[in-house]
Amino acid sequence: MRKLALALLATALLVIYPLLVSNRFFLHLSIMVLLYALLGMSWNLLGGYTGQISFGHAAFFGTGAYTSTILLLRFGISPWLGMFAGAVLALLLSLPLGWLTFRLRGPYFALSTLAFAEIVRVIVFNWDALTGGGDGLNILSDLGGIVRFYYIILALAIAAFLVIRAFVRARWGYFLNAIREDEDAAEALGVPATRMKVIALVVSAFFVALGGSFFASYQLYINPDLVYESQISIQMIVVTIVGGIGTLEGPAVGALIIVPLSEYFRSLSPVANPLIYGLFIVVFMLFLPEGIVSAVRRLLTRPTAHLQTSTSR
Amino acid sequence: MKLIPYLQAIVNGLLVGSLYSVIAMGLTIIFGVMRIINMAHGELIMLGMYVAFWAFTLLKLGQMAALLISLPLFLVLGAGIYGGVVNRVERRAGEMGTLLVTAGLSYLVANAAQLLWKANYRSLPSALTTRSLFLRGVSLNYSLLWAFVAAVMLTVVTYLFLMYTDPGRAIRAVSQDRQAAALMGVRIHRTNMLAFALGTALAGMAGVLLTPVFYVYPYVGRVFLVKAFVVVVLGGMGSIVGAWLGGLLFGVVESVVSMFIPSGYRDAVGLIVFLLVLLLKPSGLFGRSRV
Amino acid sequence: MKTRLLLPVACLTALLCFPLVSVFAGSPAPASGEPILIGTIQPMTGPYAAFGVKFYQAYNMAADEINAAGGIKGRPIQIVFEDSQDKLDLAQTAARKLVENPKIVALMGGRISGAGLSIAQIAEREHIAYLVDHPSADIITKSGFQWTFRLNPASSFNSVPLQKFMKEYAKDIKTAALLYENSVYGKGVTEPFKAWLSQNGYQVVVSELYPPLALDYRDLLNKVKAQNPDLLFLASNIPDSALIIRQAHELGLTPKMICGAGAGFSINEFIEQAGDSASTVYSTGPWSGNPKDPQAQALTEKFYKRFGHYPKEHEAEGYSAVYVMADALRRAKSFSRADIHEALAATDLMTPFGPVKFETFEGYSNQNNGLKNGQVVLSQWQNRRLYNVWPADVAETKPEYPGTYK
Repeated sequence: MRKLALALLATALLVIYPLLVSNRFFLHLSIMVLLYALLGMSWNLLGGYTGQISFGHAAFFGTGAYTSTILLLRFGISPWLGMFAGAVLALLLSLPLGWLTFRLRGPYFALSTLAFAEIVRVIVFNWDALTGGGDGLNILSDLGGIVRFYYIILALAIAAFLVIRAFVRARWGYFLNAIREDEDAAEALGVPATRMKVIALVVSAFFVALGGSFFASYQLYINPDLVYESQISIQMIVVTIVGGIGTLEGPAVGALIIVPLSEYFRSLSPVANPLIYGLFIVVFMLFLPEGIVSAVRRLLTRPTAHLQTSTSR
Repeated sequence: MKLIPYLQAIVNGLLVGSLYSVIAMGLTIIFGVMRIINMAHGELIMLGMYVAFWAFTLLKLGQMAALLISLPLFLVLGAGIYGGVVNRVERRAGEMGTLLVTAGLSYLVANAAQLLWKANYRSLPSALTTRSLFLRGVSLNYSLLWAFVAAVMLTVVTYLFLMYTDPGRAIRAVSQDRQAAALMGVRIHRTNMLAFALGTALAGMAGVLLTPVFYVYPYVGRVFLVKAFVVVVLGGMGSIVGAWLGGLLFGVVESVVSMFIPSGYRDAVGLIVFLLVLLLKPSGLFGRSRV
Repeated sequence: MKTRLLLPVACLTALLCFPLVSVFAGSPAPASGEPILIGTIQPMTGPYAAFGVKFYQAYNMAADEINAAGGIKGRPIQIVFEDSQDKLDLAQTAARKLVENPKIVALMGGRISGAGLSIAQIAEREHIAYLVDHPSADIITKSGFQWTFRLNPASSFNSVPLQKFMKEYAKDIKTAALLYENSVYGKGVTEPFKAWLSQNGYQVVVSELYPPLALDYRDLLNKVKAQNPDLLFLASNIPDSALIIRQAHELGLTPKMICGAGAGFSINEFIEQAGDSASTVYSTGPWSGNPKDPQAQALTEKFYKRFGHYPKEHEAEGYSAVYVMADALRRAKSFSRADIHEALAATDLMTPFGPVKFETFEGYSNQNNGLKNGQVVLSQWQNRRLYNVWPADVAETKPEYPGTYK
């Protein structure tokens, strides 16, 4: 009950936030935080819960971005509708990816997702007539003010959160964890591993693509390097690791920490900004690989830990 | 049908391919021994390139000197990365952890390089690098030829090291069967560190060889990482001979296929080869069948 | 008798006194007071930084001269640089940042065509004048933008001198290979040329749109070598231009003529990085001024004196752009963005780059008619310098044709 009350309070605060804060910069920052929370949560479903570390989620992000933008520019379809077309396309795209790569384990899987995302990028870059090639696409229409964007990304993030939460809390969540811990053992116990992995992949691709469409409409300009870059994939991963891989709230917490820091560094030097992503990954993997949320939970559930003598863990 | 363009493509492929071999060699040793994918491998190559570039630009030192500087420099760097980062993360977070932390390192190093040396593209003076030998209409660039020879020598030396020295044998033992090696008295931790250091040194030296042939800039590592993976997977993870032949094969395939497809898709060739090999024969040409 | 001498003596005395008076009056005071800010977006770092440096030098030299001569109504002009690394998203962010600064009265620069287009769009939305001095894509002045003005030629003008040369001089060229980078610039200069080639009976044996900043062009050049074309036409920036020429030389590619389309082929870095492989390579595109014109000559001399290398198209464009802005600022009713826009539109000025007047013709708006003014030229690298070679009235030396690329 207490949890529900807290959740409702948090939601209420998020909803009235733009009414309290009118500074453009803070609104922009909160939009970015929500976007990365969305991306992180989606990635986390496949990476954290299922243990399949994908370096290629940028493929879905970019697909979402390009689909809604091309539909807008060529057919005048509103990006708020177009984004669902993009998400469906990403979903369809994820199927051959899964088929190709899920028979591989561990690092092989990770590398092949990277290769896949790169191939998609190369195709988009060269398919000049459709995508504008290296120069990308510009959106000239007015898509609304910053407050509208805030509410849209808030809605998307909350929707993703609820869907993933439902997913994870159901039996499926146990299946995913089992696959992550030991796929062969899970299969031996009757978990349909491949099917579950595909489902996790499909859901995460869907939401990541929605994020991509949103990003395109917000930035009003995309090109293959912007939306298919491995940097996008890396950002999703950092946010999740810092917050807590395999936890629901982790990516949101991670986004809340990383995004403002990243913006701060960007204002110091445009290069320092991506550098902190690398730094955070390294530092967290060294000292706190479980992420902040997990660490906090662990500390909270062992209130007398400091009274125990140091025995083996 | 004119033969010369195809001969030229094959020759180019072999010459560039030998460079791919050297790039892949370090990665394959590390993987063979520790089952770790070093996502920062490309950045180590990039650092080697900058070492050679600055050695020439500031100190007027040639490639041989740069190679001699790189060997100890990168051995120490590799040992440091292993001891300080990779080993710790592997113990706490396993395979996935090392994948992630090396990805983080790669990001860190590339961007640090940009901060330090700017994103400008650098190259060595062209007078040194464009002369070619012409044999019956086929051109052989001197820089590439030298790089080819150096790559061969490096491969041979590495091979001899692994075959005929105790530490080399230890590395091979651990990569064949870790438990058996431990039972036979091989110090696993030390061997791991040696393998990582060796792999790093090979990456750095590969970078030195690449400097006259390619532009030097902070993100060049990414391009080489992809090529390295393709070759490692093609040749078989853990196999030196595989890396060598795989590199040559990949170079030739890339070069010849490029003649038939629009140049924009050239980069996709390697990636598709990579995926195909992973799907059809994941152990590669010479590797063990453990996936 | 004395009175008859009085008048001439008085005049002579006055004449002799005049120099003394002006000595006491002093030379025009250098500008002081609050600077007038003009924003510019250039690649200050990154693979294309070499271009940004040119504009940095040219803009500042012009601004220094103008300020030393009193500035604009006593106030100095100051150029505010933002780094785009020639990346389109960074260019947009930079443009938006400049526009948000109310002290910035106008924008110029952009460097690459893609950035030029984005900045033009932003300028149109935000109602600030944007003077294009280098981005060449036709679409920038063919979109009906009211707030964008371009003093340099549009991309499709670039290959015109080459076309004339082929028709009038190099008549034995029959086949052509086109290699152009996948960017607004690459497509913008090559596609009109390709169309012209087909319409005029030439055979295009290779046409490849390649991804820029690749590490190795040997495969691409090998394809070209297999076709043995008479003309190799390239549209690339530095560092690609130098790398392509080096590797072409390495592979033994020897067409009758290798011609680049400005950009990476008409700058000093090209000859520095490509060395002797670049000898007798041509470049077709915007000129750096009529070599016989005293303004252009003066620029060449003082630039060389200050920076140690000869100014070419970029420096001439940048330098002239600042003078165009200064001229507009002087004529403007106030320093508001709207008034500057109005003054800029009425420009009719002779600069080292040539005449500048913004006209509407053939679908272009606010475009300086470089074709009419002959502001595109075919030049060639000889003895490590770039000389105009065609058409004859602005040629500095004879063309070396066929080129010697061995």
